[in-house]
Amino acid sequence: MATLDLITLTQILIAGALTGTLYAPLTLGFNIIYRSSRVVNFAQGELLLIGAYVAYTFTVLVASNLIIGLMLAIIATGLVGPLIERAVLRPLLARPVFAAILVTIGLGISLQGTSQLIWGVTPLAAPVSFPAEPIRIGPIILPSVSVYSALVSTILVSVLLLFYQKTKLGLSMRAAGEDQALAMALGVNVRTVIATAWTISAVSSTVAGVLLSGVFGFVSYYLLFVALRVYVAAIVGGLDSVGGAILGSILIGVGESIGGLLEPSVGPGFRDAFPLLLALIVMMIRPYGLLGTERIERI
Amino acid sequence: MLRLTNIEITYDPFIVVIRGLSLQVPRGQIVALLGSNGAGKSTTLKSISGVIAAERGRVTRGTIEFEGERIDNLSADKVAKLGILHVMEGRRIFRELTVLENLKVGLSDDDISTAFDFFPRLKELKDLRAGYLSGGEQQMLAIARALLGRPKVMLLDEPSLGLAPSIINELFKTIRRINEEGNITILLAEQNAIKALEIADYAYVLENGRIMLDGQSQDIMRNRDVQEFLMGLGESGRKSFREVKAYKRRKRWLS
Repeated sequence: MATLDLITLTQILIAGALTGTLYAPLTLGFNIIYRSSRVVNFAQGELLLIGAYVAYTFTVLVASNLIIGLMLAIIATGLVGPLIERAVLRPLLARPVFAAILVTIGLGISLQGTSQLIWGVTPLAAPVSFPAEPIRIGPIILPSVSVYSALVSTILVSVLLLFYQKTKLGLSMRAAGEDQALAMALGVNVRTVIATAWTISAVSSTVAGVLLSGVFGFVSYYLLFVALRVYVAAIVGGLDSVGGAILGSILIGVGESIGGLLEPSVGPGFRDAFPLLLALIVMMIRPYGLLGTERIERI
Repeated sequence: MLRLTNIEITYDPFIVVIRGLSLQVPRGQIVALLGSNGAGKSTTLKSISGVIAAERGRVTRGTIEFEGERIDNLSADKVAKLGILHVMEGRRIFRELTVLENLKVGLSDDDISTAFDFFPRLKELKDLRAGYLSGGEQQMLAIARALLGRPKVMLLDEPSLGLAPSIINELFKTIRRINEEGNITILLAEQNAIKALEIADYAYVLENGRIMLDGQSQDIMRNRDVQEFLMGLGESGRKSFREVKAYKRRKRWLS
């Protein structure tokens, strides 16, 4: 500990923040579903897993060109959205949200089973392997994958923010998230809204799947454990805020870095526990999350 | 013309709330639907707009026709697209969105100035989150919102609920204006019978899911039973307990 100098500390913090951006696309996927229907999607990890597997199939088995393979994978997972809406969620339209939340648990389990049926349980090659060479910025050394993920996350967030603020569908999503019955009475096609939300979420999860499996070097159900961090990230950042999803992811990433640093002195497992501790503190101070909208309750 | 013929509305799966109800809303008129709590006013409106599906209710018998087309049990967004917009009870607005965003949701005119013509107050508030508006302003927003969907028919559910008398007066004047200038047919469900009959052309009185009485507004307004039971005027001369009891029994048997 005594040898910890400023540069190492900066490096750990930056690396942590960049690790956070690795989670960000998945957190965003979680966030967009919550925002458009107030459904807490417990199948987010499975969307990530399926996304990674589909990306593997298209990049390794189908297309020889990486870019084309990834494009195909994104189109294929994009179809998952309307499929889930039609088959699973439409009967629950305008019903208590709680029912839909429970259904996502079942959806998760069945997606998990399906993925094992199709792709088996042995780890498969990662669809994209990132250069092993770290990227150096002055004295700071960063893994190349983090830099890519930071870039991808920035693009995703900007696009989503523009989508929410500038497009009619974005506005419909925010409206439907608040009051589905009212939105329908005003002519909003809530079925399309939900299908779009799931499509964006699935695509965003695929992006996360490609990035994360690139870090691990393989695709396997281990990715599901990573997804657990995303729930924490989303809640800490504020469930209904795009910026919050990113901030929450970064906080979890930094928390992991610091936890990892302290692990030798505190005890094993502290790396995973420390972000949760941070989350707990944040929730005590800001129950709606860092950037979450406080509900207006007029009494 | 909006026409309900002998409809029966059932909630989850066998609670019958409305039975054999028929009513007509001719184009360009204001039709009032009067009755006390639980009479079935809101349910009737919800069945027309299709919102009732959200409460696990459905039209189990009879037909609802709009301009010759059957719309019973159609999903709410499709009904809205046909030009029937429902302003729900209790000032349902999107509280987290700003006033301007509220006005843009769903079917909406690109030209929002129509809304500000009828409700100039909203213009000053347009960047405020709607949850911070006062009750009267929220009701104005709800109506203005529906107005931008270019409705042919507007279903208004208890617009006067919980508002101060002066604001109710202002609101009802605006409703009349919307009907006359905007050429929008209005079906108005109200407990405030006096106010509703002032602006309505025709009225139906609903009780326990049935129509007890209907007629031109002036006639309904002069009806002694309506005066006593819906307006609370109590000057119908029916003073003794026995008379009231006899009246209630008669009403029960007739229903």
